Amino acid sequence: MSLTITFNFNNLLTLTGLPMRYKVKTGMFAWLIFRISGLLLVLYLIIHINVIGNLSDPAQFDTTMTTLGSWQFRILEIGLLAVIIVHAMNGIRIFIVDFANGSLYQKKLFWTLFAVGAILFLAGTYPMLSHTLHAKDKQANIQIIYNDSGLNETNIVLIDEGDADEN
Amino acid sequence: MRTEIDSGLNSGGVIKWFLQRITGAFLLFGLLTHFWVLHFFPPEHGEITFETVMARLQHPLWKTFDILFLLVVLYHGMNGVQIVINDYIQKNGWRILIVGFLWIGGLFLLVKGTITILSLT
Repeated sequence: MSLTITFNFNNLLTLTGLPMRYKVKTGMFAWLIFRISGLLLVLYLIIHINVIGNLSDPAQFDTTMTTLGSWQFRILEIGLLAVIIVHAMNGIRIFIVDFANGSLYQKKLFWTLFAVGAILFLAGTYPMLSHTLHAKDKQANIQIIYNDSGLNETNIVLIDEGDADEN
Repeated sequence: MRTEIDSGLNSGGVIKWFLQRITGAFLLFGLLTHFWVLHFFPPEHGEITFETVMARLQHPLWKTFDILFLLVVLYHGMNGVQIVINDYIQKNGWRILIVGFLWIGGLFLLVKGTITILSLT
């Protein structure tokens, strides 16, 4: 069992008497969003494993899939994509910094990966958004039908087109 | 302020440090595979149906991949949370307790996920 020396710098005051604070620049900002996105992803993982674990029979599967297919959840999925991309891009940056002397150009790395991430996000969101809008339309599809005699007796029917759609 | 002396005899966490990067790289490709297999394989179907998922999960290759993927994801995630905990809780007693809960949570998720993958027919 090893013992460690720890010094607590948190209460040091500078010469002016004000507490020490870091100025948030590229590197610290990257660290901050990396940590937050990581924790959010662990949260998502816990939810995901539990949701998937409940899909044992076809009926349960269908109800869960219908809930997850609603437009609210699809918006959340786009948010998930953003969090994944933030974490993955920062992870690549850390990988390069740790293994390939990346600290020499860490700022360039950050902005390059930021651009790559933005492109990936847009590329991924476009099909997701079109599915979201489709899901939003599906939920209330009103059809007015007339009876056989052609009189203006109208019935309003809510139709769900089902899930077997293609683009 | 407590002062203790570091004997310097342990690895200092270098294996965890290394594995966190390696599992991260693996997850990059694993996640893409996971997503691709779910949404684009077999081809030409937009939505996920019970039949396609079950059909894929019958294959022992996909079962193995999924369980391996789950293992790697849980290692990377739990190790990451442990890093965060170590940053904010330095007192040994509380830290060990909370990391213990993390272990229990991670094992629970592993068991639940593995049972799900293995028991679907």
